Amino acid sequence: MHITTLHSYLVHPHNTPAGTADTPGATIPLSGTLFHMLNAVFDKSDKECTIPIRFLMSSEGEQSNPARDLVLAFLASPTLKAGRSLANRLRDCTTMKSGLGLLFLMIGKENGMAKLVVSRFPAEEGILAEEAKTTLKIEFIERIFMKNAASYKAALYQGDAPDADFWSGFVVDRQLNQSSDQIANYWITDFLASDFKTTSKAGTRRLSIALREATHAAPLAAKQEIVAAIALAKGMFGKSLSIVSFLQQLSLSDEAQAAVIARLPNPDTIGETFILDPEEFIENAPLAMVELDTGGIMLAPSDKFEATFERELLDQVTHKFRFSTVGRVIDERLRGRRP
Amino acid sequence: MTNGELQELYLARYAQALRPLAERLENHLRELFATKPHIDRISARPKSPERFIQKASKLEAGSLRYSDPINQIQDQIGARIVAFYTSDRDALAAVVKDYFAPIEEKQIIPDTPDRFGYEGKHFVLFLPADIVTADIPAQHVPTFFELQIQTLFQHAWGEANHDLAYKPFLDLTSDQQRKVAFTAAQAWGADLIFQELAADLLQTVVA
Repeated sequence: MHITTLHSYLVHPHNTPAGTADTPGATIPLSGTLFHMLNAVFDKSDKECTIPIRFLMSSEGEQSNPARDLVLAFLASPTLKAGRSLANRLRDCTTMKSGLGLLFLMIGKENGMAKLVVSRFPAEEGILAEEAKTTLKIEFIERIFMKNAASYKAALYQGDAPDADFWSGFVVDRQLNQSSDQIANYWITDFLASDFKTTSKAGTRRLSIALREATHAAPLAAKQEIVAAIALAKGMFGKSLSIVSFLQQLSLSDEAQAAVIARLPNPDTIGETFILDPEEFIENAPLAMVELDTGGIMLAPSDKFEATFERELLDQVTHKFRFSTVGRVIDERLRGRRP
Repeated sequence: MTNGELQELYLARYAQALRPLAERLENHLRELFATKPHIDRISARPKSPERFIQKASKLEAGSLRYSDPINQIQDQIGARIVAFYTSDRDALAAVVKDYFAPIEEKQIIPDTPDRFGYEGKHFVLFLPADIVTADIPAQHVPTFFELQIQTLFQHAWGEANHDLAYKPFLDLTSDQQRKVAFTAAQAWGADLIFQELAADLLQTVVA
């Protein structure tokens, strides 16, 4: 699909003199170097925008959202004026910290399908050197955009039914020097009035149950890695992540990753981003257990297992470990059945 | 799209997607609410082809209410949670918002305080990705489903009222209307008294 409408707006932070006026904009011709550069951004948005988001309902519980209303109005009538409403909304959410930005609104329409890419490039600094016959003019410039074409924020919406398709979309934040799961609050929450499509508890439940079930089914070595991952998860509580980024950040082996993914009700959900919820995680994966061939069993809360039992590898060939712990006995009992 | 084409499309969707998805959704909801007390039943079902066509044909100010019914009708899958007490309704609604992404949340109550009728909590929610696997044709998967949370008495009243009195072609006599209103008032009163009893007799109505 090709771009059929392309507008650009210079978005100032709202708390500056320039940020109080209507956002200036221009329509960009659908040919030339700039167009080809932006067409590449438009094309690769399907692959780059990977974080699913959804517009939030109104605080009264109605099917209305201010950012979605502007998106739908712009799709219905993609004029420079209609696009300016979106640009003004971005201006009102932009602070000095986010700084000056160049917003591009790109629409493609084909066979009843519509695709909208909303992309913001930050202003950067540079030096302009202009050479004359005998002189060289050096100038400091503060309004350079797309110096690094890989540094931008974008949101992608597409579909053929405004009532159903345009309640959700995908975003990316290439400005943050972190993993692709991290995204600026002002882009997703403030500007797009949206949230992750997967709620914190739903995503955490999905991950923690898969981890727990994988510890029953996986081979021993993979089990050990997964139990260790459960114990280390507390370091990620409150952070946004996806199942795949969780597994990769903890450097689980391919075998252990496959064991966890196999326990997901829908493996396609591994890339969905959510915030790891401590309460939900501990509820679904509360205890970590290690059983030895000697008959010894060690059990501890999953987030405290590694701190409770010190693990020492004695023999790499026979995989013999020594576990040790020190504490005061507060209970001791016989159980009727093996746990 | 003609009515015949719409019916054919919905029949394919009903068989290939809505029926299996409704079954999975019911199981998904049962797992999520397994530890919550005071739930009488959880169910999910697809809208029947007859009901869908009936709804798609509705008129509003002389024109069709839905210009694109296959995408605009959001209750092609309907789920219901029936709880014991009115306080459970709100507690369960909070859980729904924890695990699902809503685009609508409505507290259904009669229009004026001097009238009695159906009361319940209704949501329009994104269908959870956990149940939408690749074996179901993507073009037939609806984006949303409707979830209703109601008390036992509201559920009972709503079902009987729907069967007897909720017919667009039927004009009830004033005596029949009074009887319908009377049963609604009885259901409302029963909910009120049971809620008060529960508050008195149970230490915690909903954990």
